[in-house]
Amino acid sequence: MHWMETALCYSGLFALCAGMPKHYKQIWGRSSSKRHQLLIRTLGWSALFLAFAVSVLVNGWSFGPVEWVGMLAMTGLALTILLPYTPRLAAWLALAALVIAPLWLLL
Amino acid sequence: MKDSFKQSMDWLHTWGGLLFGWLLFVIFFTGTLTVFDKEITYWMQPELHHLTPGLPDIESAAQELARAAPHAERWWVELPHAREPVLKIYWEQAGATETRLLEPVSAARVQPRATQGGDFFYRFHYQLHLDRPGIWIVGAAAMVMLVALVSGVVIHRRIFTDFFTFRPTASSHRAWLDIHNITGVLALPFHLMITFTGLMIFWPIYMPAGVDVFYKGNEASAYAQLEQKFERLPANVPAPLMPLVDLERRAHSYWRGGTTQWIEVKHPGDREALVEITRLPDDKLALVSDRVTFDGATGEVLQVWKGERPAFLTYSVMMGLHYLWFDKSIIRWLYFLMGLSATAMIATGLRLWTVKRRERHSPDGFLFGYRLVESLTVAVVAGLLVAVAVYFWANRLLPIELANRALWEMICFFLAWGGCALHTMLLKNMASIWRQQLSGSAALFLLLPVLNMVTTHTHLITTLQKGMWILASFDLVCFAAGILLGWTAWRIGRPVEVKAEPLGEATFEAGQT
Repeated sequence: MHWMETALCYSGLFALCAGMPKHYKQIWGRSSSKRHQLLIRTLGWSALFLAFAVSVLVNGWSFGPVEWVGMLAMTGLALTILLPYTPRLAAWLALAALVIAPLWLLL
Repeated sequence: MKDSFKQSMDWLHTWGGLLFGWLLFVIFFTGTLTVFDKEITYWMQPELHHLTPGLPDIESAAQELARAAPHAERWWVELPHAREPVLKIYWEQAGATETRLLEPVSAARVQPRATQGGDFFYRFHYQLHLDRPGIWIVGAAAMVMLVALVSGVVIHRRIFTDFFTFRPTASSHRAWLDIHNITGVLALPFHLMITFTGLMIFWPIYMPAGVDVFYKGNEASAYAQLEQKFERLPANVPAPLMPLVDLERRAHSYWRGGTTQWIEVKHPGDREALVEITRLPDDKLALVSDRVTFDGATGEVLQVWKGERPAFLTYSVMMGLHYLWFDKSIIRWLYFLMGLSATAMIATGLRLWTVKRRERHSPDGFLFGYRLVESLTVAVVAGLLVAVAVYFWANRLLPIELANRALWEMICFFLAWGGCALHTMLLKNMASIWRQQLSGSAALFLLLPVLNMVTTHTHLITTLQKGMWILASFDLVCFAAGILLGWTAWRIGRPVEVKAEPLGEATFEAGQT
């Protein structure tokens, strides 16, 4: 479940990042429409809220928010460092994380 | 008006950050190591590596205490837990405290090599080994840290649009500023929290007015009332002590699960003896240790304390967030990484100060002031890394029987640090000083697992096989640190190649309007 939280934090932050015009261009080399950006950003915020819910569910109300804030900071840092070197890999990781995240429910 | 406000904040951030940056780097780096203080101590005492945490033999510990110090004023038994698999007994006699380490299950005496272990870093990060003056200095630095964090947010030009921006191939100044910004902004909640809670720990020292007025300046009595400890004087009439193991078992019925951390006996062997059983606060955020106090002679329950008053609980949550006593390994690792992030933010901030000014002036006409600042930065940043590695090396290499061994480990630490400081004065080329000291620390950290393999039986091969994760993680983190520092040394020595990249400043500005 902790991995699911990590995955949701990473892909959520990635979506927020890709929802910004300059980073969208950095990753896919073309510009995006306003509606497209809004959609990606909404997805991003939802993933982050979901990650918060997962963290609280797993760790309880006292530790949940602490772990969530830390997880956001560290996945955010990993994403930001990865982005200029291999933007596509950062994107694939986000997609993979989003797909794999629900699988941890089965474990 | 807005511009002048930003300018004055910029001035504050630059100069406050520079003056206290070196100190803050040391505080944050040693503080980050303190996240794993018990694990570090454990690694530094290979004589304890064979111990397995089992049901501790409390009665034998009590007998050991009765043998060693029958007339002591106080006894303590500290039970083993996941992060520290050793049974400790202490006693206080005529104002002096003595410690003895025991094997948890058999209560046989163990004598590991003398070392300060992780305590060295713990003490360093809040008092610089200077006692009370050190606490004052660290407090001042923490205040400046808060000011630097807030003013840093104010002067950040595009905190939201540059949230994920890192341009490693841009100009040197740009790249360092990006690292400074992302390590600062992404973990900002942590930086603010850890600095603020750190200041709050020493409220009676930093804000003594309340204690002065209500307790006549006596901190101990203020804490005694906060924690509502049950105290009484000895009757000086001998009486046998109830078996501690029974009292410990009875204390559990007042808690919802959990384990015992401490057993304290006040006036052992007296008719007025008190036995205080304290619960390990490893499963809650608040650093509140539930407590049950028994009459030592009759076994009657005198007090059950839970510390649930709102103000005290608020304070305890702040303490809990800082002390990290709870046993949540993921949060512990996140703290470690965020602490490193803060350390990196401070180091890059210091480096920025010179990089920015060097770009503005010609590289040849380097002024004495800049040179001094950069020398100090190398000596503090790279020098501390070398010194920490040397401290670990000394732990493995110094003879075990050496007198004042723990002190010698610290002397090695400070000698290495002083050596690095001297080194920055001897050489002329700043880039090569950076490179040499960083590669030096990289080599020391990379080879530490190898040294461990030569000097102990619990090296990486065994620890990985047997799943001794605390020890294995220590070696692996050293290895990772070596690689990271080596890469930094290689990167910092290279002349910057400024590429004309598609993500230049111009595209950015156009994108956000």
